Amino acid sequence: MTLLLNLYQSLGNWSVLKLNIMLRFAGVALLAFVCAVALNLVSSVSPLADYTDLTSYPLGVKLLQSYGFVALILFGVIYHIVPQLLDIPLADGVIAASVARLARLNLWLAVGGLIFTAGPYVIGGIIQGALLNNSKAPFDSVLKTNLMVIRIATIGDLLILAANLMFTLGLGRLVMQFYKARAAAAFAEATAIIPTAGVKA
Amino acid sequence: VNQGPIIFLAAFLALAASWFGMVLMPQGQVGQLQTTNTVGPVPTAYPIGMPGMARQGLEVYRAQGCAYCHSQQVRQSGTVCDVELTEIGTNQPAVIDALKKTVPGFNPQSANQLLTDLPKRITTGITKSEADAEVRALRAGGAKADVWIVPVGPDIARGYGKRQTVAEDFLYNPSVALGSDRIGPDLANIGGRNGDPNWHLRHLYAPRSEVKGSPMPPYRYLFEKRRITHSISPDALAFRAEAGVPDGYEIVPTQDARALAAYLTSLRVDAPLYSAPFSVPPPPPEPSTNAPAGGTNATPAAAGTTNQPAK
Repeated sequence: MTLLLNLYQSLGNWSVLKLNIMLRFAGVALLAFVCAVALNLVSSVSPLADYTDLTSYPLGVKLLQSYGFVALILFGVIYHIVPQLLDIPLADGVIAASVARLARLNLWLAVGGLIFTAGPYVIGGIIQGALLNNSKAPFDSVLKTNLMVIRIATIGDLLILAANLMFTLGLGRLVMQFYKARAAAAFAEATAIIPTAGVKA
Repeated sequence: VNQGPIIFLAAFLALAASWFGMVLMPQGQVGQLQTTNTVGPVPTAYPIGMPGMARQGLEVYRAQGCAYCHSQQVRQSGTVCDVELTEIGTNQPAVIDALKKTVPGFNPQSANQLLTDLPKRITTGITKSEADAEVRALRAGGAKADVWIVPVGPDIARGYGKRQTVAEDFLYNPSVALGSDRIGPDLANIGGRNGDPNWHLRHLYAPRSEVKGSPMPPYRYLFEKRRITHSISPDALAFRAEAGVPDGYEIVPTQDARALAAYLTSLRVDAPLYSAPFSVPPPPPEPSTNAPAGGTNATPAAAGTTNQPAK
C-alpha cells in the first residue's frame, strides 16, 4: 500500500500509465504486486490458511510476485534503459521504435500468461484446500482438481514462454541495431574520401 | 522521496521484525530440542536416529524432488476425548445410574448390550472436563474407566497420521522435506500406513499398476531392466501385468531405489508425545510362563515380506 500511495503521489494519477509502454509494464506489475500482497494477507489468517496451505495457492502468489511484479518491472525498465546504453534514439522518449511492437506483444502475452497460471493456481488451490479439508472427499477428487489446474496453467506457461521469447527477440534486435550502427559508422569511416591537403593537380 | 531516514528506519524495523519472528523466535522455540520420551504406557526414547539406508533414501527423496508433490506435515485441528469403560465392577446398578446421569441419550434398556464386550468406548468426541466428570462418576460406581485423548482433523481422518507433526519428528533428519503442495498424499506416516518396501518399489517403477489413475511419474531410471538368462534374480520385483514389464525381462531396483523405499517405510508419526499427545492402549500383559511369546520358537510367518503384488 505504501508503494502504491508513493507511486500515486509521484505519478499524479493513474491515467499516466496509459501514456507509454514502460509505464504500462509498471502498472501491470503493480497490480500483480497488490494482488500478491492481498492474497498473502488472506492466507495469513489462521482459519483461511487451512484452505490455502499445502495447495497450489502459494504457487500462484509466488508467480504474481516473481514474474508479475519483478519480471514485468524489469522488462519495462530494460526496454527503456538498454536503447539509451546502446545509443539508440528513443521514438517517443521512452522506447526505441524498432521494439515498440514487440514490447506491446511481450506485455500482452505476459499478462495472458499470468492470468492463465496464477489464476488457476490460486482458484484451484482454494478448491484443492476445500477438498483436502473434507475428509469424506476421496483423494481422487483432489487429484482430478490438481490435474485440471496443471493443464490450464500449462497454457499460461506457454504464453509466458512466448512473452519471454518476444523480450529476447526485442533485446536481440536492439543489440543488432547497435552493432549495425557501429558497423555502418566504421564502414563509412573506412570508405570516406580523405581530402588531400596542399596538393594541386 | 524526501523522507529518507524515516523510510530507512521503517524498512529496518520491518526487516528486524521479520528476522526476530522468523529466525530468532523459532530458534528459541525448537533450537534446543533433544530426544524426549513418549507419553504412552511404556515410555520410550523419541525420536531415534534414522537407519543408514533410510538416511541415504532421504537424499534420494530430495534429489528426485518428491517434496514438490508430497508434504510431510500432518495437521490437527484439535483433540477430543472419549471415555472407555474397561470393567463394570460389582455394582452394576450404580454404574448404570452413573451412565444415565453423564451419557446423553443413554438408554437403560440397552445397558446390558452396552456393558458387554468390554472394554468399550461409551462416549466419544467430548471435552476433557466432560470426560473427566464422566470417569469420576463411573469410578464412584465401582467401574473402571479411562479418558482417551483423540486428535481430530481432516488429515487425521484421512489416516495421514495419528497426531499432528511436531518439530521433534525431524530432530535427527539432516534435512527436512516438509513440502508445500499435496499433489500426492501426505507421506509423514507412510511407513505406518504401508510398511512394505516392495510395494513402494513397485509403485516407484509403475505407479498406475499399484494406484489406479495415479498422476505420479514413473521413476524407471531407479531400476535395472535385465534380460532373464538363466534364472530370475532374487532381487527382482514381481509386477502385475499393468506394469508393462515385457516377457523375458526382470526389473531389479538399484541402490537408490532401495534406499528411497527404506526411507519411505521409516516415515512414521505414531508416537504419543507431550507436545502432541494421544492415548494408546496398554501393552498386552506379559505371559505368566517363561516360554517365548507365541508358545513356539518357530519363525513366524512374516506378512507382507513377499514381493508378490497385493491381491
